[in-house]
Amino acid sequence: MKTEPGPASVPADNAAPYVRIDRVSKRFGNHAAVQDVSLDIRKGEIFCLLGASGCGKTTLLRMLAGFETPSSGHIWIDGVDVTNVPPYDRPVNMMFQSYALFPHLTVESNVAFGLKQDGLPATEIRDRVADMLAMVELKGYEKRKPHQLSGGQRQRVALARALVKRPKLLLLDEPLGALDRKLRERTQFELVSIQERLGVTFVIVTHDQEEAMTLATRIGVMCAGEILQVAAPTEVYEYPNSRFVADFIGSVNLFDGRLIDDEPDHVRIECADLKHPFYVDHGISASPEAQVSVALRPEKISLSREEPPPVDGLNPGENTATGVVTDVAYLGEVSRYLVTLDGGRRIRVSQPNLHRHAERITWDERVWLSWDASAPVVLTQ
Amino acid sequence: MSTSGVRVSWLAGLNLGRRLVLGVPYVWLALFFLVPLLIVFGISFSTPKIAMPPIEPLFTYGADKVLQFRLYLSNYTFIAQDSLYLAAFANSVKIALVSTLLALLLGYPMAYGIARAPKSWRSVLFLLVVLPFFTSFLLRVYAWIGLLSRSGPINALLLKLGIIHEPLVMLQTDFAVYLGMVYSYLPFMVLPLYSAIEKLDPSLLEAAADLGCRPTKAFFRVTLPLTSEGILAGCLLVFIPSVGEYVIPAVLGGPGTLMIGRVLWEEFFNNRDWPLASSVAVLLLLLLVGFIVVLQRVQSREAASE
Repeated sequence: MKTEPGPASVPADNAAPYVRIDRVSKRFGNHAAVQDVSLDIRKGEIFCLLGASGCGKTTLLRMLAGFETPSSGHIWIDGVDVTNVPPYDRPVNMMFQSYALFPHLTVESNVAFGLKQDGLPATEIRDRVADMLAMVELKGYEKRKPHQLSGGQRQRVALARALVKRPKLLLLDEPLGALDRKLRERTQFELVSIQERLGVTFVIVTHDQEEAMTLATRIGVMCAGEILQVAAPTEVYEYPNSRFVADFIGSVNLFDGRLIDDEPDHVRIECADLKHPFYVDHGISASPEAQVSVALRPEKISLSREEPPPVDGLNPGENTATGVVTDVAYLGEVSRYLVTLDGGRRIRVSQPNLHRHAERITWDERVWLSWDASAPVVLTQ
Repeated sequence: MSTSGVRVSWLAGLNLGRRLVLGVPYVWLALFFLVPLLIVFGISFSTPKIAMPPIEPLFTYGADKVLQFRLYLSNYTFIAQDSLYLAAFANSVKIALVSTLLALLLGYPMAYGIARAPKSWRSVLFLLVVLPFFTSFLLRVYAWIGLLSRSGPINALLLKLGIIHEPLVMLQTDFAVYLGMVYSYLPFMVLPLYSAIEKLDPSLLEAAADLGCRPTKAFFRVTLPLTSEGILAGCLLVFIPSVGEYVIPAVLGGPGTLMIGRVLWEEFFNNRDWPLASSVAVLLLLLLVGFIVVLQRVQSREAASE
């Protein structure tokens, strides 16, 4: 449906899929946890499944791991149909949300567990475990038990244990969920650097969009068992393909409107909340008079005390609005405003704090809102 | 184990009310456990006498105004010399060990099944395990006589099915004793096992599978070591009462089933030899205490290595 220009750097769409999920559904009784999902994951990428809890992302991950069998559909990994292959025969390892470290085994034995299971020679096991522990910076902790480690250390043991078998695919279930904020930020970058060094394909499940945006090469946004959009983080944010995605990722102002002027190079959308229509500088594929949604990100709106200068090609007042500041939150790098428009609609606006000494717009001030003709995203779904 | 550090000073910091509350169980134990135990211990160093009670007192104060304290060691030397007692001890330990093992083999899958059953089922299954306790232990053991007898329902069924052509002799055999033991003490095995298995995080088994373990391998590498405490507790709970068991071998066993509990009973009630019966009881106690101490050593060494 989208005819908007794509983002500047499109990931290589023609790369052969490494993991192919083909029309996979999973039903538990009458409840469909995953519905007809098809998805290609490329070799060496970090793919994030993002969605609210209960959206089916964990079920999808567990089907990749082999803990659940799809009710229908097929899963291929590196050209092999693994749909009915049990977890212990899959070239896949998982880092569990709870880490699931064996409490009766030392750090060393936990990491060596899978290698011992494969019957590798003792010297090789020792070397590989030592290498892996060095990589996750846990040298000197070999003889500790999991309960003697901090949350961050446990997370690294879990990562080492999952990676030491050199899986074709590493599955991570909310990998940073149990860590505090500072540790999360550090660990995010560590995860990415380890992934780049080893070249293992990662599939991450998370409900945290910031985590997904930082880690992912591509994001798959899930809702109610379906994948709504698969794209790079920038694309998901700037070019959401549906109301749900626009609303789920980041903060957004959504307007319901009607297409009143449909030209190949621009459209106008009339909206009950605004006095003047939206002017959007590209065409869309929708029937005239169609009901559409317009998504406008808070940071794409400018605030000013004076009326903004007219823009060429736009009728007076288009892409502007007036209102009164209802609320201000100064967050340091940005300030967030809540502006009540003259029609009563409340709009979220965020403005960067570029200057230290500035007369910032404050409560109860009358302001003009304006935005670029490229800013509104028109959504037909 | 972990309380040893505070044991020194815990009493000093308590007020009267707390001391009273804590004191009650100690008084109880002293009155009804320690004192009787000391009496039994004392009797074991006495010798029988035709009197009431039928023992020679340890302390005598005669007309010659001499307080005499006599310690007879004859009971212990007698037990050591008569191979009957040694054989009875050995046989009791054997029967108890085999019964414990059978109860473990039977109880583990049961406990596992209950722990992994849907939540709504668990309490029902649990009730079924405990249900036999609603009837008297003695009655339940006696019921087996009817079931196992030559003309009992088990023989009747097997005959009807044509599996056997002559009734099996099951009563008054070791088989009946094992059956009775396992049947009676199985709940003591299942309960601690259940609580150990129930605590086991299922994601650990998924992790084991993920790392390449087939289910049986995962059981031996993860489930079994992580439920070892429950196994130990269950085994002790079955083994200890089994060693000294009297009723089951007396009711279901034959004349050949030699168990120490039965020997003790006969010495006490049939021979009216209280001192010998007491020394058998003391030795049984020492045997069990020794057994528990060894097991606890093993366990604490394991805990220390963790």
